[in-house]
Amino acid sequence: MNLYRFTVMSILLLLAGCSSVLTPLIYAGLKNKLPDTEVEYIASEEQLVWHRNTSQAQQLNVKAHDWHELHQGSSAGWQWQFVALVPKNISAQELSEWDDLFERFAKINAKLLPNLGKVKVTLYLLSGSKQQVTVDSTINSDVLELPSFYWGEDEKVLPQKFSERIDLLAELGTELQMAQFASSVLPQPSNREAAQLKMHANSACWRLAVRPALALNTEQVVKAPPSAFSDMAESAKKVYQKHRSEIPAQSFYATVLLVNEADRYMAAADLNWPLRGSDEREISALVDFCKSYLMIAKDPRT
Amino acid sequence: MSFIHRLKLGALFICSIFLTGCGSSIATGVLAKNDDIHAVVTKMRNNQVEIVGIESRLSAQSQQEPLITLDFQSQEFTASTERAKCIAGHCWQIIVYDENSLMQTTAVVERFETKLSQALQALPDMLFGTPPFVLKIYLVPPSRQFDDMYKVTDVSQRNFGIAIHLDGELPLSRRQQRAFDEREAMAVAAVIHEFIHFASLQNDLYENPWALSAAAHMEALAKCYENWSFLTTLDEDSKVQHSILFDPLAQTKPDRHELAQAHGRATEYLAHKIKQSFAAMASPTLFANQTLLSASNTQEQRLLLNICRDLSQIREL
Repeated sequence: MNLYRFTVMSILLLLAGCSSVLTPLIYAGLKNKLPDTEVEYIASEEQLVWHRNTSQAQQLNVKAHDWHELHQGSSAGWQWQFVALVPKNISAQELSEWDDLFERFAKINAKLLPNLGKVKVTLYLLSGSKQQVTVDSTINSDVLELPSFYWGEDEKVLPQKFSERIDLLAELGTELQMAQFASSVLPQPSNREAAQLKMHANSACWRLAVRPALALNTEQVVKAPPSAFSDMAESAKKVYQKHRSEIPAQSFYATVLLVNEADRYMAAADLNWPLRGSDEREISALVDFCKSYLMIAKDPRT
Repeated sequence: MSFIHRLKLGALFICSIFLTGCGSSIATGVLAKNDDIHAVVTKMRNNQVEIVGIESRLSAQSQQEPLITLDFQSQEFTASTERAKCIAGHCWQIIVYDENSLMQTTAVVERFETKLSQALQALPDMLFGTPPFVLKIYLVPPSRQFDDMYKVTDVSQRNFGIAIHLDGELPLSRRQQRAFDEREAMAVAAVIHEFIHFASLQNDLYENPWALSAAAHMEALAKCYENWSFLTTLDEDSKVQHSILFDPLAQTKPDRHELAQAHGRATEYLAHKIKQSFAAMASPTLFANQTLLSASNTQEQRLLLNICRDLSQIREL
């Protein structure tokens, strides 16, 4: 039996409802690539404590360094600032494209999170392997500070391709949402486990809906989730039950649940996933779906 | 192997792409050279391929019924035309699974046949045979699953049988249309892929067909035309997204079968060519480990066809 037949048989199992055979393998392969950010909210101090890349051994002490400002911009209550350990050369053209993307991003977030006030994003641009970072920020009615990190390459300080740029912004959005969720601005289920999953499902909305929305009215291609998600719900649940304490497992299961829920919503409207920026109806429908999803305190599993 | 398997495999890896941005792909190798009962698949050992006989029957399964065996010769299959049709050196005959109301409508079969013939006509001349090969394509509705899908009806007649899934009726809604388009394109792509393997081997195109470099070339050729035919099968406004994966998963798994190396090399070769040619035109479809294409990416489709044609001018990777 050749390799292909082996693979095909495995896929047949997936098709036949035995996706439990494969989903753990997918999870194992993805585990290191899924984000593992944690956030704590200290209400008395209106402070957020972020823990990023928790599986990494080496730690970065942000306060121990002097950071050089590379760029800053602002629009519609948002401020964004790029900083690095050493001065870096980013072309005016590239910075202008980032400003445009951040403006779009601010507008989409204002639609998804109606209670969002001012946001101040500090993007730390680093190179080399990822390191563990613990960093504080403030969240109150005046401003939400969002310190975020991008680990690029020496020559390419920031991602160059459109798809990678919107991936970075989607990750920023998931953290923005986590901040609102942790501080109870967004509703959450009372059950702790359900709340944990809801937070990750909310985050999946930025990957599912905001990435295409950033491409609106362009010819850019965007990733759509495949039909296989509908077969994965049960087996993703088993993976989650086995690795309940792992953030990537929570995120994986919650993403599968969220995508299936969105798929039902889109099916009811007889709409497909958006595939590029010109799919206006689909993009708009997904943003609407997420807007209402975020405002519901339901357990994503129900 | 069936197109629906391939569909699921693709979907599986797109899952991971959707979640994180990684992906990979593996495809098939097939040899058909036997009597009228058996199809044959290949197995590679020490860079030499062994031939493994596989009974040429469909093991079908519906959602309600347990596994049953469908013989290709059985009366549940009805040829849509009495004789094979031939255009541009290739011949085909479509045979429809005809059990109760599961039979495909004429409109579905005709649409499929038009698209298949267009894809076949684009194949390189080196794949033509004398007398021409006859592809017998068995259309099975998606409600019935099947396992083995190959058959050589008679080598002397140069017949190659392949079973694939295709919907019973034309779709009614946009959502159904997407699923229909995807299955149809997968079906055409699967036929093209397997036919390239079959015709290459039957035509003795490779001096040593089982050397790794030749096996990798055959796979790259099949994979290239398969991807191209998937895209050209789609209607212009189709909402299907097609992913060509660059990451040769096979190479990273040394414990897997050695045929994996041929697939790995083929993937690597295509990845290099596609990245090079798409980057030159600043295609927005390039992602880290894959390219995402749809029917409207006509320029990319032309480039892909050029890559396939260049590939057909050589014999080894």
